[in-house]
Amino acid sequence: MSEDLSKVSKFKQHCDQIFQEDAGGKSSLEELERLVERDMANTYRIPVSPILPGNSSIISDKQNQLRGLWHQLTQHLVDLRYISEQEFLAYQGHKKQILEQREFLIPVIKGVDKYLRQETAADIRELLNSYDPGPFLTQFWVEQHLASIAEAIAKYTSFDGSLAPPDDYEIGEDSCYGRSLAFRMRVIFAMDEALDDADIFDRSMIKYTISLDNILKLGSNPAPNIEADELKEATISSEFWAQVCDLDELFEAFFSAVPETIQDKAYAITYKFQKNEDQFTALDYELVYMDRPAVNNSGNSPKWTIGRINRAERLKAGIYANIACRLLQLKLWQTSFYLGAIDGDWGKMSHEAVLDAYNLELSLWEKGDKAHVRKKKFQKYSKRTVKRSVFHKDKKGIIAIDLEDMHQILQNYVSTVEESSAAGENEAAIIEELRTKAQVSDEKIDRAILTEKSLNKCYDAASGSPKRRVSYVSMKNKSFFNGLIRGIGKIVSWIIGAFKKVLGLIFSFAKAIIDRIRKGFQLFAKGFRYLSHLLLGRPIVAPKANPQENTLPVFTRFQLDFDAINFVPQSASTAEIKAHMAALDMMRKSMIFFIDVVLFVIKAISRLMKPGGWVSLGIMIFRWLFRRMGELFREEPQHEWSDDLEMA
Amino acid sequence: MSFIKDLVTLDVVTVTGSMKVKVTDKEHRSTHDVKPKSVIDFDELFTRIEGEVDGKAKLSIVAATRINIDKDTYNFVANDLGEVGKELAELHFKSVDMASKARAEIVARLLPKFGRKEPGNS
Repeated sequence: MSEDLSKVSKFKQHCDQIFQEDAGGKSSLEELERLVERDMANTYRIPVSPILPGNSSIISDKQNQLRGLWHQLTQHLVDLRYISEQEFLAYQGHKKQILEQREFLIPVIKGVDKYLRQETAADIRELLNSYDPGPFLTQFWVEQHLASIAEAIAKYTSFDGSLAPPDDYEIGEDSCYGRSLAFRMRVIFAMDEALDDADIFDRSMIKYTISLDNILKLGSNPAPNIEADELKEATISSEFWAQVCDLDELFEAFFSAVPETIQDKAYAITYKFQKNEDQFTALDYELVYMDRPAVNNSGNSPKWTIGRINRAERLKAGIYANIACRLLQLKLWQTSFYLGAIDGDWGKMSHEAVLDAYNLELSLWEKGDKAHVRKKKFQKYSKRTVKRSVFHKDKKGIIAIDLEDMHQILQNYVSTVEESSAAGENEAAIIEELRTKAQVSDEKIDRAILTEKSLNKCYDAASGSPKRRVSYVSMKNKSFFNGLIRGIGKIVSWIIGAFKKVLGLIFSFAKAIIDRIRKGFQLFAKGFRYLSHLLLGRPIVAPKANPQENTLPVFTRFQLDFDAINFVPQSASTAEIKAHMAALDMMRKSMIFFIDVVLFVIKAISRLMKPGGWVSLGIMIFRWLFRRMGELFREEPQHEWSDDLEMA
Repeated sequence: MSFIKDLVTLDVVTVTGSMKVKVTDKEHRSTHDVKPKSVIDFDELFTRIEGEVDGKAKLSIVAATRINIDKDTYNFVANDLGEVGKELAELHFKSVDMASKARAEIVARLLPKFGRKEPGNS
């Protein structure tokens, strides 16, 4: 690892030299090319995406390190039923060998193919237009774009509000939205096996949306008392879409949906449990309610006690308890405390997730961490809220989880879109925060995050139970970096190796950082490839009609002064020449954008005072590139990079 | 960015012909080399195209273009280009267009903004 750190310093040194007059700029560029395409590609465990066919240089021998992204993708594919549960289980059973025994990826690639054909989102359409996969999707093509695909499909299974209601959805259509709606109904409301069997949402399932609407009053269309023949004309309203895509809206709906006579009470999920060393058994849970108890001046009186639990009213309709339980599981999952299945069954994992959240929050208050009180919307949130959120007596085997207080605790782990930044500011801040800790070094940060070794336990969770899920932190609409900042003590312990248990929180932290780095690195490496073609003489090579033939391809090579040579072998067909022209055209259209990107980053790195390790560098690259992404895509006016450099 | 060495003329040449392909094996490369198995040795190939062609290679020029700094342009296009003549000519002029655009854009970016020699400072 220390060798890796010195490579980061070399990287900076070469960036610096490129802008020094008479300092051997070409050799620095060549060195940088080697560092980018070999060292960075290997370090970040993602191959350099070939922008042009043919002479792509590095297809890393360490491709097996892409497995994390494959795991993420297959999870979304099975949730949306693009692959069957059997295929998912077969994949899970062989996931450590998928890149050696590639037959287990065949159904996954078929699922990706189907998804891509149905995806209408602009980013994926643009990807398919720019890099046409041809009539048959290959594993190679998918791997080049794995991060983009995994991110794009995530919105259909997330509950963070990142999926906007569709413009023109028709019930029964086999589309991403149809599959997403079926998934959401299964997760929130699997009260019938027929619902569990459905891949897409069809007219036979409208009765479930009506039932859900009856319970949570989500404003769906059709109205609850719709006549049978009117169902044929029924649609799903955008209000309904918005609410089933956003867990916080569902929570809000839940609190105001309970029968009027018992509204504004204190609600809790309560159950008895038996806990021995390795054994944990929870009995059936109940949703109970009571009048909100008065709070004494010291704030130390518990909200729920054994007496109150026993005296509290039971909500007779079991469906409320089931939905409350699912919503709480979803919230715990979304905030990375829970890695189990969202199934309404409350067991050991759910129990421990609640206690993890409770204990972490309580410890922050006891340490005097004031991060909590900064948020205006949580003015009423206090240590008292935390202490009253969970009542548990291990010896007596009883627990009550106050729904409102626990939701408020978990909300602290979520930033709204206004508070978070898509440009990587949060990630940069948390890495900088970590670097200030005395016991944390750049080397340790790199080792912990980039090797991902200790994260395997989280991936393994899915093999035991096919419905078990890890939460992949969505960055679209809400950020969970607030939660990560709160858990920074545990992250530090994990980085220095003192904390062996990998909480979902740590998993989310590592995955989020890696995702950012991958995005930034892919863009940067793509830009570097343009410089390689235009300044370093790397030939632009057209695909051959028959790659097996031992003949020369059509190619073009630019030299340092932009003189160019085209070579067209006598055997070249019209199609091969046209394919080469298309490659040149594609490059010509986007070269300025990518050259701007890469020159800006090189210049910014050359000015760094303290480069840090690979993680730190990757996050910086991401932050610089994505802050200016919108402007970069504008053709006019050209961006004044010098302004950014002052900021960098 | 002094390594951009010659900005006085821009030469683009398109050649066709047959040459033997020399393929190198990854196993024989040093551990620091990043190229995968069975790559064509382009450096050697271009050396051959640029003049040191061995007796067995048959190369002919399809088209050549020189653009001077004052934008004076000289084009040469061979007479008999066979069935793919139209595509060959089109390919040549596309690469001319790309070379001149790339040079103009990169020089505009590198020299005034990143170089040390700002106008009036030299």
